[in-house]
Formats: sequence, C-alpha cells, structure tokens
Amino acid sequence: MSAVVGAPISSRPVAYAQRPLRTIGALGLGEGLRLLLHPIFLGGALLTAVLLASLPRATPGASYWGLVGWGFLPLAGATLLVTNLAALRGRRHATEELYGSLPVGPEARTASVLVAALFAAALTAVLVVAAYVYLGAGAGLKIGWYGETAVPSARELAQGPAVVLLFGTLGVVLARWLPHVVLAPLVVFALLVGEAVVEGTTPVNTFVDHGKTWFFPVANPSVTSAGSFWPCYESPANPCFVDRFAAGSVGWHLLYLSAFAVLFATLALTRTRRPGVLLAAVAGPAVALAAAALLQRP
Amino acid sequence: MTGIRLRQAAPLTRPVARSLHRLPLIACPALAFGVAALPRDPALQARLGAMVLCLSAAFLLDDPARATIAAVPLPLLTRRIHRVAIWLPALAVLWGLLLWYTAAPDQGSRTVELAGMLAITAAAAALLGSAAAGPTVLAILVAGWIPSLGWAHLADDAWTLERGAFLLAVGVSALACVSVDPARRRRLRLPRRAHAPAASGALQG
Repeated sequence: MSAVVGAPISSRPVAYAQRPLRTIGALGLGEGLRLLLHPIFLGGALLTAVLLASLPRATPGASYWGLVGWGFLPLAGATLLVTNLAALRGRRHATEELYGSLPVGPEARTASVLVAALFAAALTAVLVVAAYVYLGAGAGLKIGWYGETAVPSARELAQGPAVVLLFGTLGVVLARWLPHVVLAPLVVFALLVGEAVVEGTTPVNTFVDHGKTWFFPVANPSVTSAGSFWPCYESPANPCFVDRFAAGSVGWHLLYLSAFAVLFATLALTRTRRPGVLLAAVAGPAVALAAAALLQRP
Repeated sequence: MTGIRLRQAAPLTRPVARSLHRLPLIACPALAFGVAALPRDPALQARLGAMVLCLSAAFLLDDPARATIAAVPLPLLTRRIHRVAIWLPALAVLWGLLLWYTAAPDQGSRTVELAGMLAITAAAAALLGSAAAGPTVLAILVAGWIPSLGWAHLADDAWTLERGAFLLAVGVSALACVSVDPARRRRLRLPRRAHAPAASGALQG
C-alpha cells in the first residue's frame, strides 16, 4: 500500500509513454481508414478517375500531363479538405476539453492525421499504376499533333503521390495554426486556380509559364522550342513541339515537395508541443532544399 | 402571414447579423477580387469570382445557436432566409463591383449562374453542414476541367444561362426540401406512427 502511495504520479499511462510510436500507428491506422472512406475523398478520387479517363479525347499531351500530376489535383484537394476536417474534429464537435482527459496528448492526434496523409499518397500511387495501364502509357502517350509519343519517367509519375502527400500535410498545418473550416477550401481553390493560370491545360489556359511552374505543386516538365507550348492547345495552328522532358529537374522538384511536406508536418506538430530545437533542425534543411530545388531549372 | 414574419424578423436583424461568421465574409470576397486581378479571360475571372462569393454565402447558414433556437416559433426556412437576406445586399454590391472590374460579357446570364451556384452551395451547407460548401464549389470548378463535360467547361460561355437556370432550379428545390421545419416534419409522420400498433395487431390477429 505504501509503495502505491509513494509511487510517482504520471500524467500518461506507461504504455503510451514507453511506446508512443505504437499508439500513433494505431491511431493513424484508424484515421487513414476514415480518410479513405470519407465522402469528400471518394468524390475527389472519382473526379480524378473521370478526368484521367476523359483526357485521351482532349488534345495531344493531355493524357501525359494528366498522368504526371495534373490529373491528381482533384484528389490532392480532397485530401487537404479531409485531413483539415480530421484535424479540426475536436474543435468542430466542441470536444477538445474531453480529448484533454484522454491519456494520449494532442501531438499524437496530430501525428495520426499526418500518418493518414500517407494512406492517401499510397492510394494515389495505386491510381497512378492503374491509370498507367489503362492509358497504355508503357507503349508511349501521344504528345504532339504529328504522332510524337513519349513514355513518362518514374520521377514524373511520382509527382501525383507527392502532391497528395503535400496537400495532406498542408491540411493538418492549416487546422493547427488557422483553425477555421472556411480556410481549407479557399486555399485549395487558390492553389488550383494558380496551377490552372500558370500551367493549365485546355481550355483554361493557352500557355505554360516555365519561369513559375517549378514554384507550384505540379510542375510541367516539358522543355519546348521557342513559340511552342505544351500540352497542345485547340488545333495544329498552335505549335507544341517538345524538345525533351526535364526528368532531372523533376527529381529536384520531388525533393522540393518532400521538404515542404516535412516542414508542414513539423509546424503542425510544434503547435501543441513547441520543441524549438526540433523546429530549427527540420525547418533549416527544408528551406535549404526548397531553395536548391528552385534553383534547378530545365 | 408575410407581414407577421417581417415584423418578427425586423428586431432580430441586429442580433442575427452579430452572430454571422465574419471570416468567410471577408476572406472570400478578398480571394474573389484576387482572382479577378489575374491577367486572364474576363469571363473566366467573373465565373471563378462567383464561385468564391458563393462559398462565403454558404457559411451564413452555419448558426452556432441553432440547437438553442430550434424551438422558437419562427420556422427553420424563415430563419435561413433571414440569415441569407442580411448578407444579400453586400453580396449584390460585391458582385456588381466584380462584373464592373472584370468587364465580363453577358452579365445577366452570369448573375443567373451566380444565383444557381449560390443555391446549390447553400443547399449542400444546409444538408451536410458548412464543411460541405467547399467541396461543392471545388467540384463545380474541377468539373470545368473535364473535356467530356462540355456544358460544364469553365471557358465555355455558350451554356451560361442554361447552366445557371439548371443549378438554380436544383439548388432552390433542394434548399426548400432540407429547410422544412423539423416540427412540421414530425407532425407529418405522426399519423403513421399512430397507425403502427393497429397494423401489427391486425397482422397478429
């Protein structure tokens, strides 16, 4: 009895204190399954599937462009909304104080939603493979008016899952630092419209601004000759001659996206725990990588 | 009846206006004018701006006191119309400014389209909560990218009026259906519940 009375009082159960990763993994599994079955996520996946399936009927290059990233933007937007709603769940249902009485702290709940973003990225990878087979990309996709074809590289194909992961972490960081349900749709809207304006395909846009494309989540990897733009627009009267696809720069772009994902995840976790040293340790390299990626132009 | 409702609504206007979420009412018009400032097609800018303005209106239905005031005599539909009507003059001014700034053609058709998107977004918010408003607007945006959906194309102006009228009809019908006062819904169900024991008794007999 005296041993019990004299024991140190811990605010957390021993199981969580000793094995936090196991707890976060269990929570993350639940959050991941909730994300995959969420109506908004399913709607985004459906829109992505319809968009990818309809692109072969559009202009040359649209299928290639959809497969290397553009087609996965609806799914990325849906992921951002769902992770944002998941991270705001306690606030939306007014149960933050109730959660405070649980043995697991807020940082574990944040980490579990970040784990759920990995589920979305994994599903996107599956969709990329399915679309690759469905579109017959292994035999080459049409990229010009005169029968030119090209096979997307692995780095280009990785853009879709990377963008979904980035958007998922962005949803969590928005929920932690700017907790209002209106902001996530506005951010998604601004990102999608920004992409469409800078590098969209028909009919939204008529040109690609190569100077700005590497700043945006989905980068257009085409290197065109003067006077040309890609993907092709409307008719052969608008030239779309592709010199090459800048696979090397896409590699740097993937690093750029990963760095931002790590940065967002760290910012989301530090909202409740505030480990200043960890923030400095991770944010520094993230910014450095981002700068390095921006310096890489085709 | 309308006169009574108006008399009831008048003193409620100030407290209801105070209860509106201010962030969407500021952030959405700001983004709408940000989109309008992009150096692109005026018709497209006006359409994108309309989408963001719709998003702001959907958050009007998000009443933090809805559970508390569910029992007041004013019906749910009237309370919702009241909340939207408070913001409508400001929305009309913002939309007029947006049209003037972008100099978009076919302004009448575009206004019908705005009303249609507004009704659809508000219906989604009324049915599933304000969190559903964003996905609804984004789904309309992304539908404009799908080549096979010709009528939904963002840059296609040929179907603006028809698209707006369709969205308006669907949106207003859906909003009216989901805004029937719960007390009235319960009254409609009561006879069926009253008959239930008798029916089971008849089956047993």
